[in-house]
Amino acid sequence: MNRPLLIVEGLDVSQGQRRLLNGLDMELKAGECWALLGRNGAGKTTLLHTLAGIRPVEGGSIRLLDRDLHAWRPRERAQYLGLLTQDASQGFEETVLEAALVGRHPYIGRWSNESEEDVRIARQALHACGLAGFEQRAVQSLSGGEQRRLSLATLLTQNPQLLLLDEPLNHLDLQGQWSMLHQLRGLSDNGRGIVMSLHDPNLALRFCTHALLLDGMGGWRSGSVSEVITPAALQQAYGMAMRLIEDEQGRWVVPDTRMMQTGTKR
Amino acid sequence: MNRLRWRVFVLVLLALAAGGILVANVLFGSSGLVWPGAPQEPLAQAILLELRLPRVLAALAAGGLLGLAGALIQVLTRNLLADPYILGISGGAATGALLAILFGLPLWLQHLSSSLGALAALLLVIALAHGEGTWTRHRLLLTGVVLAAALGALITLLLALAPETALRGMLFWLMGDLASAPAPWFALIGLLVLALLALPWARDLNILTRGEVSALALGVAVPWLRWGIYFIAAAATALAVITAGSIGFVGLLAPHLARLLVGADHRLALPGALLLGASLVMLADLLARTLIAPQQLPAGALLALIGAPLFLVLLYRGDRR
Repeated sequence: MNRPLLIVEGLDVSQGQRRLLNGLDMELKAGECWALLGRNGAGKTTLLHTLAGIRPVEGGSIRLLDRDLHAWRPRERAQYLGLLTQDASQGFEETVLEAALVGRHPYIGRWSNESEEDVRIARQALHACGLAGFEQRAVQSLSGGEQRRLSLATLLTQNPQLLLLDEPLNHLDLQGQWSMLHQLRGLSDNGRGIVMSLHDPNLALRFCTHALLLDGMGGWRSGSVSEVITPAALQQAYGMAMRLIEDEQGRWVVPDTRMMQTGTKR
Repeated sequence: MNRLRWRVFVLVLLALAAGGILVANVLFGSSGLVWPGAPQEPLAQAILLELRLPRVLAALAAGGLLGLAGALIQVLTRNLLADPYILGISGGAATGALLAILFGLPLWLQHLSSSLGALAALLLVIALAHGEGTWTRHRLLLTGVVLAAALGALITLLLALAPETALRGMLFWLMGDLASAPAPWFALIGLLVLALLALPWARDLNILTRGEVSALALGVAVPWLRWGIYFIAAAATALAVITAGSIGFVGLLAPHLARLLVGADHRLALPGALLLGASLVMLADLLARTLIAPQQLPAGALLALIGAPLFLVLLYRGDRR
């Protein structure tokens, strides 16, 4: 369980002329579930795309399973590393089952088609995401939340060791958010690694083991959730006064309404 | 998997229909029904082998090429309104061909001139639209559309300047004309080669329709794939236009009909678009030659007349499903 899936050393990330992240070091082991936090435009998506190997590495290094991320052959890498994109990306016209089967692409040779086994894996993933019985529906007919669950089902069909998720909770209602996070935490407890960008630090506190907080100006903090998600750190990253509430059910970090007038200014 | 079996069955039907239309094209023409076996007249033989067969093969090749190119261009631009002519190739080929007709050059020089025009337009679009990133597909579309508009204006000028004698030939070229199709074997072999090059990538095309980021994350070699699609589509369009002039609409219509009939999976939609493109052009040419024989109509115009209502009916039925 202690094998590092991902080792990031001295990673620089920028978007255009703007440096978003300076010298990020992080080590992600199997079984860890990381929350990626920060303001809009702080570089969460850019970092996830860099970790997924879609953007070139500007400075520093990323190693996936002890091999340089860009030394992998793309198809082989896609069997170990998967990305859930921020926007539901759909093809021209597909059924739910066809969309889920897309996740098998890295496993199927150029001259083969999906096998019965691939279909079985896809159906299982749909079932796990609460979409059993939806197989023949057109993707366009699903609600926003259902499409989000379908995206996760496609990722589960891809079956990677390391899951990168860009705002997986988009479009989900309260119950949907909690059940998806339960599901994701179950995956990491079973030995996968997860990095997901979230907007709610309290969900991160409850469901994640680790957190990476970006300030969008190059700075970052990483560590266990309780180390990273503190009122002081969030105040610095989001530019809002925060306070901590603690009771027997857990800890919450919430905006400090007494400081609201001055607190919302950055 | 019943649905899959049905779709494969539909594809087989499309192939049979294409074969049937091909045979009908050989048997019927402006000189009426000619039966191959019965009278061993040299005239009948000549009509079949030297007039009708090359012409129907040219129609098959041009239609197939445009159907294939249309399906590929729609994936490349992720735009269902795109057709092969947005690459500007047909405009380039038309300008070349019309210039040759205007100067009264012989037929082979007309073909050479339209080939050079197609190549020039292709290189121009590549040079202008070159770049990486998500911006490129919009730039490719816009570059092609603007170039096509400019070439369209040039073509209008050529038509305005042309003497009466050249005008008819020029108009027929623009509407799609199979009467003077050169060496159909060349286009047929081209169709076969390009289809065989494209088909192994059909599943990657499915993934590419979901966007570049998703495709990259699933291990698709997106930059290579995009260049590959671009060149196959461009070569197919150029070959089709040189063979049969700018037959409009089929490059847009055939891929859409294919998706309505066999689904959006390109493993079936690519061959489907190819077969439908070939069938539509052959059918249009058959009607063009026989409807008011011995006078011939422009095949391209008939194609749009058949295709548009067919498409609307299928679309309407598809929506109600």
